[in-house]
Amino acid sequence: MKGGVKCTLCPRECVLGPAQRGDCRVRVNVGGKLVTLVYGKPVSANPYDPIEKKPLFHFLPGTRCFSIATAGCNLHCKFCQNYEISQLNPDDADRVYDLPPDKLVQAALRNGCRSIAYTYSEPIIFFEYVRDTQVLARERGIRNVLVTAGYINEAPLQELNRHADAANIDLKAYSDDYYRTVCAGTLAPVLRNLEISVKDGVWVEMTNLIVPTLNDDMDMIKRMCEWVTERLGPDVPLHFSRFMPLYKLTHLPPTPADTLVKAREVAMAQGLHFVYVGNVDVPGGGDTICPGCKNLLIGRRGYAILALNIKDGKCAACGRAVPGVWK
Amino acid sequence: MRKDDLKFLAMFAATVWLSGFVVYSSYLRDLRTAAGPTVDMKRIERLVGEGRLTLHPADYWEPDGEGGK
Repeated sequence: MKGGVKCTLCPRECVLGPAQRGDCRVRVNVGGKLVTLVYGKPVSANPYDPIEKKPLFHFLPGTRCFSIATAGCNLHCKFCQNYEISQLNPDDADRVYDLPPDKLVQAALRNGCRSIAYTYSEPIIFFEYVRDTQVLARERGIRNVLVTAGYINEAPLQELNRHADAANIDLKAYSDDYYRTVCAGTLAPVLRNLEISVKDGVWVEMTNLIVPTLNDDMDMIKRMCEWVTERLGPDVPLHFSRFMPLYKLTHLPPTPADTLVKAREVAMAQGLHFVYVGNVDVPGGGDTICPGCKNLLIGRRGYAILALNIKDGKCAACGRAVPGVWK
Repeated sequence: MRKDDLKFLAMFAATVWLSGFVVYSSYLRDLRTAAGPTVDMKRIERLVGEGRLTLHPADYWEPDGEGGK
């Protein structure tokens, strides 16, 4: 195509004619060169986010992160819980913050945040902004957190991972058909990227949003947990999250608490050590238990820490090392 | 074989081919050549002038049809 460009950031690899934007809404072919519309221009900026909200339960518990997001996303999940920004063109946003990397890092320091979370929509699509901020943040002692669906090509992922301290990566279902029909994506890149991120030494936790009738089959959840145990190891925390009827799935009910509890039992039976239930008040659903002595390591209610029995990264009762980043 | 039978078979084959092509091409659209609509560059430039957008050079792209990066 004359004047065309091919974006190689994510597995979609959009081919763009002049003045055409990518499927992510934020990358545009201008004069035969690809540009991003959202560098330093988030639509959400929140300096008061608890790290538990990401959710990250084994990463600096009880600290705050500075959360940012731009408009746009490279997936189109019918259940998206942040669709107002993820499915928004940046040129149609009502409010935009001017927060280039240096200003963002300054704001995080000023607000006493221990980390910056690239979150809410999809950090992959504001890749250049994330990467440049990560470098500055590291220099100033601020950690970097990616909250992502993991739908990215290998080379850019590894570039982000070089400066990332933690990531919560969605595994939306252990089914390529689900990814194609519900999210407009594919499963294989996500599985590959989970493995790469763990190998790269990023602290990884996973989220699986359970949507009634679409991905609540316990056999599929069992197979997913087998894969996690075998390929990522039993110490990767898994968060089962409750779906709320939003965006294109308002006809479905919220996920029953029983389904989430059952999924947790299935996951633990497959050998996973740290499995949590989120977006719902289930007694003990957010507690971290020592896999060795079964002592309570961290007691949680919502995003609040009620008890913390980890000393120097070890169980205060039996001394077993607890996987995670604790200081 | 009667002429009508041949016509029916030809139409049947064409329908099957067309259905297959629609499914295959939609697959291509979703996964290989996905893209959004053309933007109004004048509006984009105005919003850049107002500080609401940027035209910051992106990484990870290549000219179309000129090999991998």
